[in-house]
Amino acid sequence: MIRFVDTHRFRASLAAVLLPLALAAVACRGSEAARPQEVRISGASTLYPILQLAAEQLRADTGLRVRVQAGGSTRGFEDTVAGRNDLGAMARELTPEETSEVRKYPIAYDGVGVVVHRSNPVGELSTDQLRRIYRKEVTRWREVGGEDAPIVVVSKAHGHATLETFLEHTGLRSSELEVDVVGGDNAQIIRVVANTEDAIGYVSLAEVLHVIDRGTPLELLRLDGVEPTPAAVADRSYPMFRPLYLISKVEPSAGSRRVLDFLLGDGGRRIIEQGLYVPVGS
Amino acid sequence: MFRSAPERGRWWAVGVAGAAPFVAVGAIAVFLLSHGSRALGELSIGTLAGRSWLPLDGLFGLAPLILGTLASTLLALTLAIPVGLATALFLTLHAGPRLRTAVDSAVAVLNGTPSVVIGLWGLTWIVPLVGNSLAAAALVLALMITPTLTLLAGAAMRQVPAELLEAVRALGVGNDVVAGVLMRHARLGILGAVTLAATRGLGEAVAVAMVAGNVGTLPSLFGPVATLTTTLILEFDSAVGVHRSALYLGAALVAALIGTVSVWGRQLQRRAESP
Repeated sequence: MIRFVDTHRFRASLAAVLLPLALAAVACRGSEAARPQEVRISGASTLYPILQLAAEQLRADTGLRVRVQAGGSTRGFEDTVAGRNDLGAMARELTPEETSEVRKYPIAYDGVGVVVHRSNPVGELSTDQLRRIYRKEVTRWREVGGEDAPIVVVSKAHGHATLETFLEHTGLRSSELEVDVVGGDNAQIIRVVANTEDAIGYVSLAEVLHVIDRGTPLELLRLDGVEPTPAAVADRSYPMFRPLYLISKVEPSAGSRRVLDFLLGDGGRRIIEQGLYVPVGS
Repeated sequence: MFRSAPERGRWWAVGVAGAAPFVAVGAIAVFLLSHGSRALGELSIGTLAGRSWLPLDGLFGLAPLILGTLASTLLALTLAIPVGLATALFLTLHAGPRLRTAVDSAVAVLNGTPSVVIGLWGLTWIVPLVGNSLAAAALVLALMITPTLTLLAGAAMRQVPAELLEAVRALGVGNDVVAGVLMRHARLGILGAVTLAATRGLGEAVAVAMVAGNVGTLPSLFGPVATLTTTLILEFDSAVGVHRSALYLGAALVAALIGTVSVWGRQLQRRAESP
């Protein structure tokens, strides 16, 4: 009989391939069964840092496991309705139809800040100027008090809450937008504007305050004369902001309740303020 | 046949391993199409073929994304083919072993550079020159596919028998004739190299998304462009319902484009094989 391959080596290599797979399969099953109480949260990436810190704190204090997954507000809503999570995270106002399907718990507020490169002398825009820039009716910085350079307009991909808040505040429809660059998440908008001297963009205020603090060459513009700060969002004088919600389809479970109570209590308030968001009730 | 049990087991294992790629491709196709079927059912062909991709307004025109994908890849190939072939020719015909090793390893490093790094480079060096545009996307893509092309075309050229080149040189002809003979002999490998570079260009997403501008309008050279894959990267996480389904359809289109180019390249190769 002709040997097809060296039997021992063949078996050994087969085992080398199959054994890790089998172990991985066993490990996966084991870890799922071993978690009796766990709170699954999915949705807005804006809420991710707050939720992650809260999860660590709760784990240390009470042993409660909280698993957080970022993926956008609308996805958070869909997951909640489909029962794929225990709590959904939303970084925008819910539509009336959405509100009728879930319970919502306001956690915090976040402004949407208009940013330009630090070298740009323009320090303020009105909502009307902003509208005209994003419609390309105003195309040069000179027309709004800056240098004679073309404005590079940066916007956000469809499906992101920041875009929806921006559209709602300016009264623009998405089909009216005439932009040069579209970015996916806040980090990408920040990267583009920080790299482009003539760019303008809009991003999560909390996130941009953090990166400016770390030295990224960006400048936040006053909007309609108001400095964008967490305090101005708190007293509602800064006009462009969105609420951050946790939502659930049914009465929250005991675990979910603990997450909500923590976030609305002193511990949560500290985390939210550290993140430069605005706690509810402030 | 009187095969022993262990032997049958081995053949079975080989059969499974051999079938795996086909099963995987089939599974991916079924997966993409089943998720994309909702868009196919709810959106008219007119909408899907439309020239505007504005999901918030219910417009899911894939035409600008397909054109963006094709335009960026074709432009990148027009840059990469001359540069890649010239480099490969130089390395094969004129470079000494030490220089060849040095250039080869430089090209290999470039080939292995993660696309996000190339994207960052494009963002800081290319975008300030040509804006977030089709031109920037093509330049970044060219940088990514030229090494692939150079390495594969170079490997094909080195397969050409040295005696043949010696014989041609002995006729006293110029360097360009020698290069012509070399390219003619290595044409199958070169075609394979170009095909692989093209499929890599069609599928590349991360680096392109960082420089292309990603606006889903009809592409122009110095205007922003969105491709099927950049749109997937930007929107997939937050897309739901018919929007998500339309993105799956876009993913199926990328896969179909890449499959078509691969098969087409193979056929050209086969035709070239039997002159």
